[in-house]
Amino acid sequence: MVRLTRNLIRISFLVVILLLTATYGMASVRTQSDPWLAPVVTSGELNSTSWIKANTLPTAHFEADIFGGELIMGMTTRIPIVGGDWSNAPDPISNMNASQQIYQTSSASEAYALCKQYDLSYVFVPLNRQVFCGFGWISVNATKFENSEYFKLQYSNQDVQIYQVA
Amino acid sequence: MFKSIKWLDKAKIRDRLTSLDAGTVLRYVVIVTLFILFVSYRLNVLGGYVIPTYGNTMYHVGIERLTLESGHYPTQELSYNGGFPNFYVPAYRLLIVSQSAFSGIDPMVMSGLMTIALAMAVFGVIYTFSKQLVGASAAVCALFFLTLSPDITIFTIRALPELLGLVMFPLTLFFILKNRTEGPFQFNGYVALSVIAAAVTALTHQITLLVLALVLAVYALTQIKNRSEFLKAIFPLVAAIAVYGLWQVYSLHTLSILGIAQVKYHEGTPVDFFASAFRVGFFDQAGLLVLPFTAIGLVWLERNKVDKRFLLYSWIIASLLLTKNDLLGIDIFMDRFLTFFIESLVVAGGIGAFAVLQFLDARVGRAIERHPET
Repeated sequence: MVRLTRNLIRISFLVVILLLTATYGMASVRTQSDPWLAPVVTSGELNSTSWIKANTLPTAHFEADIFGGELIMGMTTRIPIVGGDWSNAPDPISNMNASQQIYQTSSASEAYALCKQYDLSYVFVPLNRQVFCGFGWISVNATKFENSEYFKLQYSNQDVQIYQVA
Repeated sequence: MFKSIKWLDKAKIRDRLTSLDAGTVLRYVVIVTLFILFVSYRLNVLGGYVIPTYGNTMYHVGIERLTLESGHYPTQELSYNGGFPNFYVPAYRLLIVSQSAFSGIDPMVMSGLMTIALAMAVFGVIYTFSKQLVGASAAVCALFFLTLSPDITIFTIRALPELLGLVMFPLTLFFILKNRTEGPFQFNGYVALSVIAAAVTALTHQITLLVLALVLAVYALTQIKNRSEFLKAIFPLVAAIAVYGLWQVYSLHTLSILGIAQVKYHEGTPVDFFASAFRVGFFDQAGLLVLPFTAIGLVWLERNKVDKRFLLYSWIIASLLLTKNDLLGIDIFMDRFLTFFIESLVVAGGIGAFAVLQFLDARVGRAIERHPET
């Protein structure tokens, strides 16, 4: 009888602890961890990587932000201006600055000159999210890429446009 | 046939059920419940059209894809416009590549699947280590803190080499813990396993390697008068450093890491008790309960003079030192070392919770014996 009572107390205690864990405990874990599950990139950006893989050279270099660049690397092994491991990169901060300026500037000629300076053949332009080149989230000034003197639209879907640098 | 039916004899079933230790049954119920909670959240990794992308996850997929397509591990980077030597160690990526090659599953999807598998391995290795140090009940308590730790959760839902590090590092310590041979040092199976695990850790993740090396060095120092135990720490330590050194000479043609961007630009966020704009909060990442239970756990370990407790002490001290390296003017990856500090507190907190439960259980037992009619 003593043993039974003791085991009933143990079971009740553990049931309470497990219920608290499953409800309040896991809710708290979810609040902290859910943002880290975010894909950041859009589904249209992911879909565009099939086009990149099929229509660009394996050595092609891309203007992209860190998340777009890593998506391009991951799905196509093409080379972005930023993203990945910066440990041993010759001048990663300069790459971040250039990438951000290409997205931010309203001048098509300036964006074109930077693309040429960094040997970038394509520009990856997310349409439905901000970009992150290393210094915070910024909006893309996309209209300059419509200047066909410098950039030629090669692919587009609801989430992304890909321009070839002229 | 008849015999197997006889096994279903009621008396025999009753005997089996009554001979079952209630504590063991409860332990299994708790482990299974926690495991379901732990794994069910991690299934979200495969819930989207792409794996979670925070933490350069897709960059690793890129190197894995290139390895699969070219048939060799690339020596040149794809990152930051490419064309420079690859700094990263290859073990995690080769694990994904091997699984992808074997199954034919795309490396991006395989990275998600392996994230769930490796998270389960973290669950298993924390249980195993804690059980080996103190016992099964303390290990179950450690699993509570593991399941409820936001930081451990964040680092076990992302397809990163650090996740394999979170398995390999405590596994290396487990082999040292398990090696309980007395007397003069013997190069036995556990030493060999600890050396292999340390070497794999060295090739998995540089931050994990630093934690492992410092933990082993601190443990060796605490065991300086015990030659056998000292050597049990030194062998894997030397193996890890030698293997990493060889890799870096092969990949970067230098042993120096002073030129890398993380050191040059002091990548990392300081850790304080509570989060602020430029600081990671310890209590936000670890959970509020683990620290007080850790204190109780450490007192319990010391009072009971638990064999090899200094291995856990070394883990706590070394990972805390690395987490607060900004105070030493180093200022690199404080928030990443925090994960390994929290991992040590999960074990210590589990021991503390076990000590509290043991105390309460004894009090309840005595109270029932005094007043059995209630």
